[in-house]
Order: sequence, then structure tokens, then C-alpha cells
Amino acid sequence: MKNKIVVFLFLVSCSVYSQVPGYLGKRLTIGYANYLSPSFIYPSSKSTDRYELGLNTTHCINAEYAIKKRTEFCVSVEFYKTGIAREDGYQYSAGGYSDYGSAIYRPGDKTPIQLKSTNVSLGFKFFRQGFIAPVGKYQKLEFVLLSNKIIYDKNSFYDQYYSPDTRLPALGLGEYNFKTFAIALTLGRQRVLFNSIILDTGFRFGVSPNAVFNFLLDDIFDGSMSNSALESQFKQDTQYRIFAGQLFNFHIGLGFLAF
Amino acid sequence: MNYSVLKKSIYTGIIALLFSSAANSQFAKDYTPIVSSGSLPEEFLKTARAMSIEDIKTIGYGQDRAVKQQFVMSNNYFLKDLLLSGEVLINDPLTKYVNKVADELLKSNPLLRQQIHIYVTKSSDVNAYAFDKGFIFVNVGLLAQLENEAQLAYILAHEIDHVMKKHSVTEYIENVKLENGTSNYERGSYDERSLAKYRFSKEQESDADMEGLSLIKKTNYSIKALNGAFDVLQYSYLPFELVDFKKSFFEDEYLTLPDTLFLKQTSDIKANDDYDDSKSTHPNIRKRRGAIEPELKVSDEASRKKYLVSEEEFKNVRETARFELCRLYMVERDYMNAIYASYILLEKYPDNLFLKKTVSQGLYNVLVNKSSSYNRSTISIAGNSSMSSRSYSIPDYTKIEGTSQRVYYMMDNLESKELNTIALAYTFKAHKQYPDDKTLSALTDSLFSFMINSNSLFLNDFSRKSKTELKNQDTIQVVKVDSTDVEESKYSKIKKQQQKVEVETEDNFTKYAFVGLLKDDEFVSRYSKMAKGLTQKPVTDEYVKKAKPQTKKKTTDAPFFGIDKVIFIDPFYMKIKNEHGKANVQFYESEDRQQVLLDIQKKCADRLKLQYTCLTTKDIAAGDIERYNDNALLNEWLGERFKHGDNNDELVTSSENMKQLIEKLGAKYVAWSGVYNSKGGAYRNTYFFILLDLETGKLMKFETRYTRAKDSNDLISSFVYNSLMHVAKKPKQ
Repeated sequence: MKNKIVVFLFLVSCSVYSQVPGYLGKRLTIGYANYLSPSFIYPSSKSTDRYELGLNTTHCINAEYAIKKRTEFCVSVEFYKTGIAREDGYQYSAGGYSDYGSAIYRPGDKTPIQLKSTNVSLGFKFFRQGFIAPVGKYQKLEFVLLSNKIIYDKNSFYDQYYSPDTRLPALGLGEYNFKTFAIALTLGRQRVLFNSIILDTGFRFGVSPNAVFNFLLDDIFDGSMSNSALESQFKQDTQYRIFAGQLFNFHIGLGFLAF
Repeated sequence: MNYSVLKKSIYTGIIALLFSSAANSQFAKDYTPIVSSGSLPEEFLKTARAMSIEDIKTIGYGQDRAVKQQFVMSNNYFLKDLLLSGEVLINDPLTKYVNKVADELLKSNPLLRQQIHIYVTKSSDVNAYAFDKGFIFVNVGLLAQLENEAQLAYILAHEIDHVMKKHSVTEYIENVKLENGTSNYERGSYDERSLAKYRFSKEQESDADMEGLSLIKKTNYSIKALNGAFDVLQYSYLPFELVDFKKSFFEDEYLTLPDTLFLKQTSDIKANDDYDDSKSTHPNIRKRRGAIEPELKVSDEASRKKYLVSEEEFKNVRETARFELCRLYMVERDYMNAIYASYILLEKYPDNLFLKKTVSQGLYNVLVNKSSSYNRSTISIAGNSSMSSRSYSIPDYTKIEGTSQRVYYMMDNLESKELNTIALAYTFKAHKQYPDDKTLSALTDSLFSFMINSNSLFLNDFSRKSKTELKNQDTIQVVKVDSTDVEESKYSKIKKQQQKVEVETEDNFTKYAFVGLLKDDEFVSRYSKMAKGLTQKPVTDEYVKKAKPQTKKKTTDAPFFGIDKVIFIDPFYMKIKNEHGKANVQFYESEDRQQVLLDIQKKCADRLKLQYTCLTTKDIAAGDIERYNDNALLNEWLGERFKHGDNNDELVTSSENMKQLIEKLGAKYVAWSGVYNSKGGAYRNTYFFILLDLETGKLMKFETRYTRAKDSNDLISSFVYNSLMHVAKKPKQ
């Protein structure tokens, strides 16, 4: 906490006592952006077809600091929450819980599987020739660390020959955490309204290598490399979503010039 | 002769003599540039938009309504720009006189007289032009060339006809028809259609010639004198007088210029009056002269006069115009004409300080441009962009006609060190004559500095003895050597022989140029002082080589200047819309955006605590003649400075008058910015910012930004703030 205060005071002192780049001398922008991503693979909890078009949103809180005339350093925290559906009656291999062989996941009215991602992104915005940060067209290159949590109802597994009375005992812990990363390039444009509000719009193209790898494996090798463990299957399913979520985003954000 | 007639003649003679000496006396010692005075006329205060709205109401609903609207707007905005540019003179002796001539011309038509507004403009072009709204502008260059008042009256009559018949709008409509290929221009190639348009324009000019003559005939102006008006046009490319340029102008007892620097025979004046005018808006001179010649014979010529207002006043106005012309030539970077025009007037006013300064400044600026190595080593542009280098080159003397050709030839053939020597000798002598003049003193120092830094010539490089003295001395030595020193070495003899040859040749005139001046203590001490306090490393080949890579080095960021006060001038803003392959200026939008840019500048300056004075003419009032003159001065200074490009060494001649303005406004830096925005599919913006030092003329910062984006306020704010931040922020120690 002490360190954070020191950094904050340093930034304030830099901005107040010197004339610096940035919009009218203001270098730090704090804002909120909403990323809209079309999803092509199991886009929602209601999806039954694997390839279906849907729209997902990511909420993002960001802070950007103009370090040079045309460069901003960006930090953002993103929140992503969605349900993951699966065809074939949500049938999973109960690998790791070998006593039961295959199991069918039937969560009833509940969302089948919840994916919650809290991502931290670090990057730089490079404003194009002629523009001065934070105004105008830019290219943003960022590294995103995705902390994913999969939540499922551990008490909703049934025998593969499903009937309501064949419910199996709890499988797994009910949640599973894993981390992955993505590299993204954003092409966007920023405008300043009323000399204090930042309007940021753009498109982001991102690649999550793990997801790509799994996606390719699944398609090319017919899932033969898939891990049979229950959690691994969840992970694989969510990575499809992450892949789609990162691949293409349109974002619109509002922020304010702090100092 | 009867006694009373004789007495009257003597009195008249004395009065005329007194007048003529009074007229001359004002130019004998110095000349003060003409400025506007009194209050600003009403037409200067109306905005271009207000004028346009008013005019558009009067346009009928004919087929050309849209074209006329377009014309009205472009014409009014152009007119407004001209009126507030400072080029137009108000209530000055020249404008007053021209208006008196117009009064005489339109005595019988007071209603028309009220609609005509005549002003003199500070331009060296031999021209007069009219706007349909009733504005006639007569250039200083034309006044300087006229022979008599009747000629001026005829030129005004010609322009008045253009106004009465609204020739400008008719021609504009024709132009649009030509571009669109409509009406008479539906058939034929573009060239054929252009020729038809030129024919139309020539018809208008011929009409104005004839109608102007009719108007003159209604007055008592001499008709015979009008023929000379076409001579003025025909020979307008020549200086206002043809005076033989003598080399003695720069010479003294010791400084003798070689004959090779002077053209023995100058080119004859050709001035073809029957040139091909098929692609000209005016008929050629022969046709124009021929058309009016039959009409020049009038029965009452004897009772007509060349002067109805005043011959004295005309001559005084013309002389003022000629002095002003010398100044304008300098401002317009026409150094050859400036030197020659000053030379002509110096024959008449040999002690005139202004003329001597003009010659000195002209020589200095030619010198600066001659020495490219000096420029290379001293220019350092502070900013993101580099302004294009506009090196002045002396026009080709073979294309010059008349006696002024000698000036071009001489300046072209002088080497840098030779020109430096001549300029220094001339300027120092002028300085001795006017020791209190700061400009001459500063110029002398600059020439000393140039001598040392650029030409590497020190005191020891000049002989303290004249050629004659050296020849005598040499003879004595030779005699002495021959008789007694039989042991003298071969090498000593060779050196002596070389010295003898050097003395005898004319080419090394610079060596003996300062024999007289080296007897002057001030000359010697200032030269020595300058040599001791070298502020720059002397330019050597090695130094130039070393300097080269530095000039290529890309500056990643502009430096900071730590300036606390800046003068802003009206920013430039132009919005263009490209439609159907045509670029249309959005006048109203441009005007609105100009105001926005002005506000953004103020806001950014406030945030940066940068004090500013804005010399805007947007809200100028009738009593603001001082602001009008200040703006005129600043605009002229900027116009001259921009002609120099990135050459920081070239002298801005109007800087002398700038000192008062700097003191008055308390700031010595001027900033000008602007945006050019076009939309034709995509948006394109070009933003520029220029910062100049008014004292030295140094280009401090020149920044341009090109973006493909809408010219939103935030975008422009970010540009302006960034520019001003570099102005205000103190440099790192």
C-alpha cells in the first residue's frame, strides 16, 4: 500500500509541476471499456450447436499514462463471465474419478458451467504519425494474463444412462482454476470530449496460444490428444470460448483525464 | 516684357523653387515608411460573412445564382483578407492624393463617387485592380512609374468601368462555364474553349479602355498625355528611371573595382508591344494603344491639363512611392532592384540614410546567400520539421535589359570575399556618416563577423599601403638589392617578383580595399575585437565535413525554449470540400473554425501560464488604427521572413521597425499556427506552428503535422498544446 501511495504521489507531482505531453498536460487517463466479442463456438449456455454465433461482453477498467508524445503505457483489469454449454447432453468422461466411467452433467436450471476470467493486461498504445497521445488513431500492443475460474455444480453428474435417480456422488471440487495468456493488437481511436472525457473505440485482435493449440488439436486430430480428466475437459471447452473471445473484439470505452 | 509680368514670373519662380526644395528636403536626410492614420473606414469593419449575406440578398433568381453566390463569398473573403492584411494604406498621403484624382474624375457623378473606395497597396507590382463591390487598389509600384496625373486618372477611369459593369463576376461566370463545358463552351477542345474565354476577357479590357477614355474626356485632363499610360505598362518591367550604373558608386581612393566586373555594353530595351496575347487576359499593348489612338484627338486639347489636383503633390507622391518601392523590393527579396532603385535615388539624395541602409542591407543579404558554406554551418532549425531552404539566387543577368543589367552582372560575378569587402567598406562609411544609427552599426558588425567566420579574412590579409606606395617601395628595394645585396637568395627574389605581380594585377582589389579604412581607429578596433571574440569556429573544409552528418541527424524531439510571453497573430484555418473533382472552400465553416483555433490557443496558453498578446484583427474597431498598423507591420515582417525559408542569417529588413512593437507588446516572439482541412472521402489535416524571434528573425520552431482524421477540437487542442508546451517549458540544464 505504501508503495502504491508513493507511485501515486510521484505521478501527481510529475503532472502538476511540469509541463508534459498528454492532453493539455494531463497524462493519466482512467476509464471503463466494454469489449464485445462475437463467439462462434458454444457462445452461450443455451447453445446446443457447437458452431453458433453469439455475442459476449468483457468489462474492463483501465489506466493509461502518456510516457511520450505518441506513446501511452496501459494497465487494465478485465472481467469476463459467461456460461459454457456442451452438446451431446453435456457428457463428460469422469476420468480421474474412474469408478464411474462416463458421466452426464445435468445442472438443471443452473448455468451448465460458469467461466469467470479476471485478466490483467499490460501494454503500450502507439499513436500514429501526426497524432499526440491520447488523441487520435493508435495501435495498442498488449500482453494479457488470464486467470480463469470454472465453476460447475459438482452434484449434478448422472450416470451415462441418464435417469433422475442415477445421480452420482459429487465429482470434483465444483471449481477449477487455470491461467493462460494472450497477445493482442488493437487498432483504435481516442477522442477527448469536453476536454476531460475520453472516448475510446476500436477493434482488438488477440491470440491465446493455448486455446489455438487445443482448437487445432481438436479439429485436426479429432480430440485424440484431449486429456481424459474431467477438469481438463472443462478447461478445453472454456479455451474454445477464450479463443473466440480474444480473437476479435470491438470495444467502446469512456474515461476521464485524471491529471 | 512688362514689369508686372516679370515680377509675377519671379515670384512664381521663387515659390516653385521653395516648393521644390521643400519637397526634396523631406527626402534629403532620411525616409520614414508610410503608415496608415486616422480612423478605419466602415468597409474595413464589416465581417466577410456579413458582407456576403448582404450581397447574396441582392442576387436575383437567375440561372447563374449559385455561381454568383460562390463568387460573392470568395470575393468577399479575399477582399476582407486584403483589407486587414495591412497591405492597404489608409489616410496616407498617397491614398489621399489618388482619391483627390478620383474626385476630379467623378466630379460630375457624385453618386458613383460615393460607391468607389480607392486605396493604395504596398506592392511593387506595376498594377491597379478593382473589385465589383467598388474597391479599387493602386499599387505603390504603379505610382512610382507614372509620368503625370492624367495617366493616373486614366488608369482609375479604366478600373471604374470594371466596377460599374461588374466585370469580375461576369468573368467568373465565364470561367465556371468553361470548366463545366456549358453555354458557349459546349464544343471544342479545352484549349479552344480557353482561347474563347481569353477573348471574352480581352473584350472586357478593351471596353474598359474605351469607356475609361470617355470618362476622361468628360474631365479637363489632357488626352494626349494618356498615350504615355501604355508606355508605363509596356516598360513596367524596367526600373522607374534609367540611370547609368557607375562602378565609382562603391569605389574610393583605395578600393578600385576591376573593369571586368562591369558590363561594357548593356542589353538594349526590347519591350515588344505586339506579343502573342491569345492566352492573355489583356490585349497586347499595341492593340490597346491602336484602339484608343484615333480617339485621342480632341479639339479642346489646348485647354486640357496634365495636372488638375497638383503637379507638386503628384511629384511628391511619386517620389514617396519610389522610396517606398526600395523598401518593398527588400521585403519582396528583390535585392537587385532594391540596390539599383536606391542607387537611382542616391544620385538625387546622396546623403539619404534610408537609401544607404537599403544598399547595405541588400548587399548583406546577397552576400549571405552567396556563401553556402556559411549557411551550412550556422543554420540550426529547432523543431520537428524543417522549413524548405529558399536560397536566393541572383537572376540571370542576360535576361535583364537596360542599365540595371550592370548591377546583376556585378553581383553575379563577385566572389563572396569580394562582395564582403565591398559591403563592409560601403556600410562602414555609411556608419561613419551616421554613427548614431543602430542598424548600420549592427550591420557593420555582422559584416566583420562574416569576413572572419565565413571568408577567413583577418586584418593581416589586407594591405595597409596602397598599390602606389607598394610599387614605389618595391622599386626602391629592387634598386637597393641590385646595388648592394648581391647575396640575396633565389627564393627571396621569387617572392619579391610574386609580390610585384600581385600589386600590378587588378583582380586582388580586396587586398587594397581597406587602405583608407585601416587608418580609422574604430575600423581597426572593431575588426580586431570581432576577430578576438570569435563566436563561431571559422569555416574550414574540415569543419564543413564534420558538420555534414549533424545536419542529417534526425531530431527525435523538439527542444524547449522557456519563453514566457508570445505574440499570436490571427491563425489560419481553411476547410475544403472536394466534390465532383472540385475543391470548394467552406468559407463560413473556415471562419468559425478559425475562431475555435484562436480560443484553443488562448486556453492552452493559459494552462501553460504562457503570457500572450493576440494581434487579431477580427474585432477591430474604427479607432484601432494603431492595432491595424501593428498588424500590418507584423504581417509584412512575417511575409519577408517566410521568403527566407530556413535561412536564419538573411536579414529581415523590416526588423528595424519591429523594435518599437517589441517594446510596446513586451514580447519578442511571434507565433503563427494554422490548419488546412480537406474532405473528399477521407479527412486530411495539416497543422502547422511557427515560432520566430522578432529581434533576430531566427526561426525557432517549425512544426507540421499531417493526419488523416477529422479536425475535431480535441485533435487540434492536442496539437496546439504540444506546440505551446515546447515554447513554454524550460530547457533541461
